[in-house]
Amino acid sequence: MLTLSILIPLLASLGLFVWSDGTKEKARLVALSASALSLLCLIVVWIGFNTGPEAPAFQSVAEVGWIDALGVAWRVGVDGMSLAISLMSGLLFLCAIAWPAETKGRARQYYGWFLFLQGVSLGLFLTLDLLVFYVFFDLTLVGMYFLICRWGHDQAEYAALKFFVYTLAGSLAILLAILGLVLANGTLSFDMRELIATQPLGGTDLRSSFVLFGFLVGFAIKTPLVPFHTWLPLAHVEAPGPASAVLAGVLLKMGTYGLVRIPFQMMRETFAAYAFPLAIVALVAILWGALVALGQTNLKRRIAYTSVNHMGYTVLGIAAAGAMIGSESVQTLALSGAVTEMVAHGFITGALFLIAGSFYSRTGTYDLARYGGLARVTPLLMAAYFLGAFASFGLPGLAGFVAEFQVFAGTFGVYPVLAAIGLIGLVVTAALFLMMGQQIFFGETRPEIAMVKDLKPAEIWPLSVLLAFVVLIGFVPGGLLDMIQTGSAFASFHSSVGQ
Amino acid sequence: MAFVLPLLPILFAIAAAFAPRDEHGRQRFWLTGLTVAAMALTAFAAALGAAGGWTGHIAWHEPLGLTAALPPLAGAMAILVPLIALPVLAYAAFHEEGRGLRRLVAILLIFVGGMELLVVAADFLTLLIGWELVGVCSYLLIAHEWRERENTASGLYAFLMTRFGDLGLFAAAMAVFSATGSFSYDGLTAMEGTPAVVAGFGLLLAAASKSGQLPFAPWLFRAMAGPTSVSALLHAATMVAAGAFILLRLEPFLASVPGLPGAIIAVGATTALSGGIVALLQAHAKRLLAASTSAHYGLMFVAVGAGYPGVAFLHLVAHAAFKALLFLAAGLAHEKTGSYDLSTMRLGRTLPLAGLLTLAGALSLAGIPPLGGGWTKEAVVTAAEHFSLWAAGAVILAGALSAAYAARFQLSAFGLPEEKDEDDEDAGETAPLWPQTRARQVEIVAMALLALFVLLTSLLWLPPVRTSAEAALQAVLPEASVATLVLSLIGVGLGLLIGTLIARQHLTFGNDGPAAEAAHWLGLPALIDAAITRPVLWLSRAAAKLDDSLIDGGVRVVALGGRGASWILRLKGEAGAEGLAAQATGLVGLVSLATSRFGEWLTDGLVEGLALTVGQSGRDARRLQTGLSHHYYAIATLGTGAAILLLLGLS
Amino acid sequence: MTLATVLIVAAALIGIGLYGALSQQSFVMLMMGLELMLNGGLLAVIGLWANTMGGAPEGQLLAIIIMAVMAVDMAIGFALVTAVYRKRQADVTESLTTMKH
Repeated sequence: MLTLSILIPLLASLGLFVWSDGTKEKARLVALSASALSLLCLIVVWIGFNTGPEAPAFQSVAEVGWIDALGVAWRVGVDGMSLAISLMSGLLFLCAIAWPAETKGRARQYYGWFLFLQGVSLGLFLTLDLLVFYVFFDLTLVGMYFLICRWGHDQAEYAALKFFVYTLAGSLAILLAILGLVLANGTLSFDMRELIATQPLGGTDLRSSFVLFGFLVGFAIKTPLVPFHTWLPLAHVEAPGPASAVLAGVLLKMGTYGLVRIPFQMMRETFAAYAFPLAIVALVAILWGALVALGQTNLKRRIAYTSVNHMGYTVLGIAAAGAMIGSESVQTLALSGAVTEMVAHGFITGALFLIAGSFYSRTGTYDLARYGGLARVTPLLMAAYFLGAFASFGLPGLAGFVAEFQVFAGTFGVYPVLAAIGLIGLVVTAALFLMMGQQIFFGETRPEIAMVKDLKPAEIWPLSVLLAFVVLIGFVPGGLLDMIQTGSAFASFHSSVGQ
Repeated sequence: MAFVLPLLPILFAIAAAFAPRDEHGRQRFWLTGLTVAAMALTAFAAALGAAGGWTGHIAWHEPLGLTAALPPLAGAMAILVPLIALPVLAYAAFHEEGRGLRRLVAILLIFVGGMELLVVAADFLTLLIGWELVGVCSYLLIAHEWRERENTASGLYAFLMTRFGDLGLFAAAMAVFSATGSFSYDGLTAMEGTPAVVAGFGLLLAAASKSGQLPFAPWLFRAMAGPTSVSALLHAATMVAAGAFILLRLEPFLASVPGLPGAIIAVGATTALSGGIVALLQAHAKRLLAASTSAHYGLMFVAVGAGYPGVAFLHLVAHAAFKALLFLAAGLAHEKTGSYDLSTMRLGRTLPLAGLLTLAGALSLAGIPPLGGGWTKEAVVTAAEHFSLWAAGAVILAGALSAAYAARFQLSAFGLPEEKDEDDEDAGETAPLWPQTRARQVEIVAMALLALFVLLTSLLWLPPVRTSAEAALQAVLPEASVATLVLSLIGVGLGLLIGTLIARQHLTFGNDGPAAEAAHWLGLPALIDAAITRPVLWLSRAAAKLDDSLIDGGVRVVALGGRGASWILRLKGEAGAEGLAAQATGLVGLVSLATSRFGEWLTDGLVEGLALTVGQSGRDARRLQTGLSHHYYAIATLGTGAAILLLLGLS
Repeated sequence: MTLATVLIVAAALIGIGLYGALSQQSFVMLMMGLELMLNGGLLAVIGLWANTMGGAPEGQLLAIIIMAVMAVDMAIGFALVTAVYRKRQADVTESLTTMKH
């Protein structure tokens, strides 16, 4: 089933590339149905997902041999964390594909690349094989590169190239680290389950430290953490709206997902030894991201920098959970918060970037100074924006709060001072989102944008689906938290509780 | 079951969104009926819940979950909030502008719902949800008239100021969780050491910011940008009351934290005194009331710090009743004269009934027996006396100031016009007691209801009522001593005298002279606006000229700092605090400017520099290829030499 | 005739050859320098062989092969120089930059 959800979009994308006479409408329809089918497969897995206390580490596992000599195989399976993230990704892809995009006359290719990206992204979250993980990790770059380069704005090519080269450098570090990790294991195998069970590298000797460092740098570039974040705003500004939504909502999660899945789970001792520096870097990302975002005059850059801030929360939670200090409940809360933040941030930032895309398609500019008083003409857009903004700065009743509250409450039990300093980020993000909203929507309506239209139905439903989930997670996060805390990522906490 | 209380108003708020759009009159009736029904139902449910000891639990995932409980004080508060909100909302539905009325009423209802949620909360997660909900509603309400940029800026200012205080609540919740493993209030009493101190002072920070205590007091002034009914609700029963409420709800724990009661009393007493002075200097009706709100919540803080949450609660009740009434009165006066300037009012003849009703509120504000405000203020004095004589003295002084500005408000706003005005044609005639239009009638009925509440609180002077209140609230009320009562009454008398003097002789006191700085300072919002918007302007204008804008920014901040310092010198107390806030805002803007420009340049530069170096070395390497064979020989020879040296070195 | 003497002579040949190869502009002189260097190398090889292997035939074989290669290499080299001279009238290295990137 999981394999199917990866293959359907990939095959459909291939079909779109070779199918020569498709119109835009047909291409969109194909893309939509492939994406929806893929999501449907995931939902089927979700329905059969066991969240009970005896749930196995990974569920819905399937395995097909590939390169036996190297221990590489096609292995898929989910635990609560990867299921939650891939469900979010599937939904976000569906919404991004449904978004009415400016395809510049190349609709087939546009939807084809989107489907390709969906397939490889889901593959990354679902695979249980390190080498396959790495392959998908790099393939996402390819998909994104073309989306930015060919459907982006003015400086798209430069932005795409920078994005590609920068993150490719990160993935090289990851490749070296993966090899180091696998070779340290007694038997040659890229099976994640085996590596988690055997913990091939521990301690703080030179080799373990280098391998961990490779992972941290690679994932920090992808996440991105300060000071490796400078590719992010440029790529976001130049990318078209739906691609930005996917970039922020799905691709950034690969960094933090990898951080949990590989160093956090496979090298627990080494990770714990270096958790404190990582937490400090995360704190810097929180504050720096918020401050720099406040200084932006470009709408999309501002939202982009808040991603740095939010991913900082996630990494702070992961670092606190991996530090092996404090009680089990505190660590569980921190990691649960981090994973919830990944899901919540996917929905929230996805929605916000789609909204940014709506602004651009109406006014052709991201410059905040050219907006004002839009509340009169686009009340729906305003409602969507403020809902997204409120969720983003952690207003209770919305998804961001559930995540951030857990992260902070968990981190406080481990690093109280860092958590307390990190709280300042909450005020700054509130300020920057509200100031931006006021600039765009309030005051007297500017004449040059007084004629813009409110949201179209094709824009309303993807947005309302995303925002509905933001509200739903905010009010009843129980189901999501149950799911997240099932299985492999949280297994270490549960087992030691039992002892 | 207890979650019904916050849910009810929110459901009605959704219903309010479906109110009819076009027919002007029908929409107002619809909304009035809706709000009255919502509030009456909520109050009724709260009474049932308080009597039945309702609790509630919504599990998310252990240890996260929402819990609710209604112990006596919370139960009483849960009843009080909708009772005060009922007349205010009815007034809002008829008094406020028709444009955006549905939105206003809906948000007001959610506002009440959020307040109920934080009242019934029995753990920090629930509290935080209610707390933030109230905060964001206040933002939306203050910025209600969004076409004016200044209003939205005021909303942002108020929201950010209180949000900063919310961090204290976050810290408290985190400390409680790390110490006890759950977010419940129950674990508080078992806490000690550093977590207890963090939790206690975090709560104080949160409460002080919500309740408009120093140094957060200025946001209450900016909150005046909202419609009148918003101010009334905000000050009387919701937002601002939340701070004092959470302190009195968790009082037994606060008393156990070393140094905390003293800190609470210090914050409360300073705010009470400085708030009184600022209020007395105000000639703007709503700001006078706003400053007095800070002062009275300061009194409640003093009572909590002294260990008498019951007293603080009763003062909260009395204050809610008279402050809502006075704000509604100010709204009426504004509608008649078109401004909030007290010196232009004197509406005793044009609004006789309103004046009469306001009198009850003003007397209660002044703390004159036998009105409710009088008794609760004396109780605060007595409570403070148990802590220290200084605190009691401060409270007595604050009471005197309160009497002074109450007298000034009442006499300026609803005093009889001066003799010379009688030459005018219609000024001489007393308007009919019962107003003619439907809107005026609803407004008067709302005010009458509130006046009735004020009179009801007066029953506290009767010992049997007092003992039954003590029993119902399960709180100890102190016995007043005669000496302080007399002293306090003398203070009130003096205060009344001063207030009357100002109202009669120095109508425009606060508009000129040394007190003019007050009026000047109130024009400050524009400056804050500049401090926020200017950095944004710099960024767009001087993107290329980094150095220029940085130096420029430095100069501007120095200028801002100089202006801030001069305000501090001119106006002590809240004036200084607002100046500081202005500078802080400017500073944050500057820092973000600097980080975004310089920092990005640095980190980006490192990467691009690396790329440049690689590219340059590639070009350099190409220059070696001259095509001349003897150059290649030379290079080969050099390489061989290097290889030989390396081999020698290695072996 | 110790090994050291032979090696010193070989080193001297290599040094003279290197100097010639680097300092001379004419192709002919340059190739002579190269030949000298090769001869130096060859001399060192033979000396070492004579000293350690005691005249085993493999060493002689190597020396003969190198001499043969030198002869062929000279022949081809001069042929090339002649061809270039005919084509471009160039007999010094500065006049040929076709190998530039």
